[in-house]
Amino acid sequence: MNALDRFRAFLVLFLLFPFLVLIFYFRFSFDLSWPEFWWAFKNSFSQAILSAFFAMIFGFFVALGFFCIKKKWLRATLEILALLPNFLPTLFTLVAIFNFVDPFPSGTFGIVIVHIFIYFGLVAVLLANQIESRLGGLVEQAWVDGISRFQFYTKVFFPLMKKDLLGVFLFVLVMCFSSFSVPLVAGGGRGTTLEVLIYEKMRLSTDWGAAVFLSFIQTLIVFAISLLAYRGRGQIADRAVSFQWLRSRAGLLLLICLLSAFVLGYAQGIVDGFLQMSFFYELRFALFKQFFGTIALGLLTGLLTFVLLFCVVWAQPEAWFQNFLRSYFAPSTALTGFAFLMIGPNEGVWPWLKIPIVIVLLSLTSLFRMSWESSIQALHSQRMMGQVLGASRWQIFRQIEFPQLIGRASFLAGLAALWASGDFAISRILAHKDLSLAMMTETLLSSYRISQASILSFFVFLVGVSLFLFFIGAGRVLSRKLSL
Amino acid sequence: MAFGGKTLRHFVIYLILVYLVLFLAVLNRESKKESFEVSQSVRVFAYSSFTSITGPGPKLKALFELSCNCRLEFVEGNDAGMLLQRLKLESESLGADLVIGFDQYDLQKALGEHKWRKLDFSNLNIEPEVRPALSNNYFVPYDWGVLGFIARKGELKLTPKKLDDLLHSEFTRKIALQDPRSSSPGMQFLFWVIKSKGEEEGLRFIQKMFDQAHSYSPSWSLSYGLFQKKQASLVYSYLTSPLYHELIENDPSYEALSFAEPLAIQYEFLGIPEYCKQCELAEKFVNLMLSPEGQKILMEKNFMFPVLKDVKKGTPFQALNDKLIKDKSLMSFEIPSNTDIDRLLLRWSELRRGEKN
Repeated sequence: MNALDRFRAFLVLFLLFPFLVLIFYFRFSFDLSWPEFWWAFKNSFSQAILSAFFAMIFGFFVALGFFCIKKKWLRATLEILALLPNFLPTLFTLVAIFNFVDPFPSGTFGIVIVHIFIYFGLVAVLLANQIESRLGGLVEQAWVDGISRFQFYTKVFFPLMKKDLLGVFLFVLVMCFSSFSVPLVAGGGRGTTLEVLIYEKMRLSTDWGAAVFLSFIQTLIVFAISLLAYRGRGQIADRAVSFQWLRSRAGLLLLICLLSAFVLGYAQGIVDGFLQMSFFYELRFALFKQFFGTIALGLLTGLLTFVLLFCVVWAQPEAWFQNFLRSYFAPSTALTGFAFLMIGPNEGVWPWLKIPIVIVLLSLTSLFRMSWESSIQALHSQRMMGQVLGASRWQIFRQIEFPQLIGRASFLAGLAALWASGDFAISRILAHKDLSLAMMTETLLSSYRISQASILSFFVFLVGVSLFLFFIGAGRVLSRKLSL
Repeated sequence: MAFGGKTLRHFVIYLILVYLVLFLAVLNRESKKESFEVSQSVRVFAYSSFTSITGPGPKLKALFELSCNCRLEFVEGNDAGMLLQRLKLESESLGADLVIGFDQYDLQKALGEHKWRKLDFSNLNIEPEVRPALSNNYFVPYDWGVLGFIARKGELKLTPKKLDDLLHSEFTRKIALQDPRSSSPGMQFLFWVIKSKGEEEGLRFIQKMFDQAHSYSPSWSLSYGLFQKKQASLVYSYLTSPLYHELIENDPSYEALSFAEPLAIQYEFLGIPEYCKQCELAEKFVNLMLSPEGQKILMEKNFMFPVLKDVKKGTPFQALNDKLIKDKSLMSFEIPSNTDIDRLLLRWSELRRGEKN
């Protein structure tokens, strides 16, 4: 085993770490009610597939809607607003949807509606970004070649984008598969999913062995689904799309409709919150502390993600390693959190380190599937050329891969930082007190203070977006400097 | 310019510096606060809304530290279920001297999984409703709440007065409930129905309620939020909930409804683990919580009834008690076995599954 193999093995072990800890402590327990398992599996699977499919359709049209906007600031604002439902506590999203869809249809249909609402913006932002970086020049070339719109989509767009589309689809699928609150609230009888079963085993029956076993099965299922992913290559064009085939006014209208429904419901809470602003004066010291706590958690998560994404690049190319990253799915949030709780101290500085590590562990393979894999593969021919010319692995990394991938890595690191700043589920398990504004928002929600929580959640969102933009900006600056 | 040059070094150093400065700013505030000399430290394990800045924890801590020459440290868990899990996983390494926040449905599990010190507070001058909850040797109730339905004044055409009224068509898809598998009030509702109607009849009622429920939220806060946002006309919550809106938000538009059936009571308990290190200090803190001063803080911050007699006298809590609870029968106290809880939850899940299958 050479050094690179050992490095790959280390990365794989790092990702498998929560499972290894859980299996070491609890062993598998097969004491399951199989009819209940199948029922939960069917629910999880059907709602996740349908949610991911429709979120992709909506997200795709909204992405085309983004291309209609010429003013950069306006597009950036709409993109940020589109991310809002994905980021805020579930309650705010649910209230907006219940206002908009009345009567609300409980069951699979209800779950799918909520998931579409939560994920359409994220899908649109991701797809718009990928379409631009992959297809920019080809659109004009196809137009010059005189092909029709239909031919463009069937011969150019889908063949070149299928890998990215599948990556985003799998990302949303996994998120919906492991969704917890939404199926319970919106699902009616279909509210029992595998994630709920895992929680039930863990919390009510304290049967950790069964919870770990269920989580393992869940991972295997997602592993199998992910293996269906195609390998594909793209090219990095990194220029604006300026062609009418990739613009849709209907998509823009759809975006405005969905956002208005959401923003109107949410804004009402913020206005109520402003009327009780004096409440925050009492909390000013805690707010100050947790503002920095949020930034610290977000920054560390983003930095870790950035480093690990390049570790993945360094460990390429190796088919099994790539297949593993493409298909692996971490155990449920609660299980991963508890695995880290059992390892090492949980005092002082440790939660500050453990929380970002857990967030990175949970999100790294999703980020890989989302667009990192295709970005790496787009450099395949350049890497081959470098090898043929006798360049060392280090030279290829520092002169070909790093400079070209830094923009994408910063984007993904920014996304991870955005999630970290809004996380309270993992933090609640690993931290002994409120460390961030998101945890404080959740605490306010659990003590009647919904208006104050609304306004604080918006502040959390602003902090998250600032971190996201910080990483994108830092990536751009570095990329520009490297190209000088 | 290639990677590996000065640019990258500067970039990395810049990011590390930014992170360090922010991190030190946070730590600095904490170390300043804790720089006074203390001889001992007592660790209290409690749920987040107790320890949060809006909960009773910080005020009780400040009061306790004034006299104990010690430092009290809260260790936070999400809720009672998660508290138990953490105790199980971290046990002695957690170093908990006191655990706060179980309800009667957690006690059997807590007794089965951990060893607790015996506590004797039988001499307390407590409310008659709480007396039965003191009968166990290990856990002491420190507050209690009565659960029922909350509505907005003047919104309902028909005011439900008994459980069966909830099945009226006016309430179809209008009642915000909690999932008993993940929420303590959800479990209270399940047991309330079962105790009021008997198991078989109760489960038939629960089945009919599936059509009446707006949603079964995983937590009380989510269901109450949906109600506050006018998505539901009724919510299963604490009868003291309207007092929060009235006293803190000056909003008198919420009301607790009176029901014919004996209402469910939630008792919140505390216990001292056998492996405590600062057991005496822990007991002192329990004494503070059960003193009139501590009980007043718990009542005003937790919006629950105090267990000590006379603490709520002359307060809106007394008025609420007189209006809705006094002279009414409440559900008798019992600690259900784990088997009973598991069986009822399983039947609840089966009904829910069968209903919509």
